[in-house]
Amino acid sequence: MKKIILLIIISFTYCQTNDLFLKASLALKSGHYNDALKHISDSKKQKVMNPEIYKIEGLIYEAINDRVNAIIAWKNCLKFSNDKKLKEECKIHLNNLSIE
Amino acid sequence: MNKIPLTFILFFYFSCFYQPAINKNYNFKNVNSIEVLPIDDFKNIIGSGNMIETSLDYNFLKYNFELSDKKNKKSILIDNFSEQTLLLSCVITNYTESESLIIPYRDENRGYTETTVNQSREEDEESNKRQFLASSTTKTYAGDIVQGSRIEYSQSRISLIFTLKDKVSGKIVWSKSSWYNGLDLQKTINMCLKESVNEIKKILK
Repeated sequence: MKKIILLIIISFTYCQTNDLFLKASLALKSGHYNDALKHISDSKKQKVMNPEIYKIEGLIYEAINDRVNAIIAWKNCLKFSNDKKLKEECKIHLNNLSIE
Repeated sequence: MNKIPLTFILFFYFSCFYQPAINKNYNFKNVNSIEVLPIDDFKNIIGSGNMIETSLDYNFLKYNFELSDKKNKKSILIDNFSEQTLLLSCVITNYTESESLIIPYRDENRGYTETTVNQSREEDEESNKRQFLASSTTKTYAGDIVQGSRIEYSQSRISLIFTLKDKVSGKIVWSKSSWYNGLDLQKTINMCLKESVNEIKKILK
């Protein structure tokens, strides 16, 4: 019984993440950056630690001129990424955002 | 307290990143003006050069440079009495208005290895010797990747190469390449130019 309940909880969480990503994609496509940020933020609550998610977050914050949060997002992207290209991208964005 | 040296290291690290190439023998303090050469369009993207040029004007003005546009000759005027003139050229090496990207969400289980070691001691009655027996079992459990949903979005990408050349001698005295990506093309161009204009400001100080 316990296993069934656990399985239901896992599949519910997994489906919710899928749904959040789909919503975030649609919001990004239509240019609703604040809505996309909300869905991405909700997906992070479900412990999704993908550096690319932080990259999108950084790009959105830059698009809406939120420099402080963009720096935080790019720093997180740099922290969680193992990919050389992505790390380089993070450094370029952090460098540009540090210029007044 | 520990944050201060860390901030200093990070600042130093980022300030060294994508450094421009510079002729150290050239005296930039004697520069009176910089003539901005027309920027050619990238491949067949009509208007791309013009867009970069306009954004370049905006960035120079933002950094308190004085601009003049006499007889279709655009110049940046620097307040000093010398007569050296530099020529600023820009080549667009990448101008992608929109490229679609897909980020798959993967949950990776790397698996694990389990090793069991058994040890026993036996005594040989004939020789009256003690023996140690050891055996080990290793089981490797394979991992798996669960492919989940994905995020789709589109981004712009701009790459530029700037060069400063002395008008009289024809010597190239400064060069810098930069690239940037973002969700919005105009913002991406501005951010890409911002860094280079800031570098030009630094050398002229």
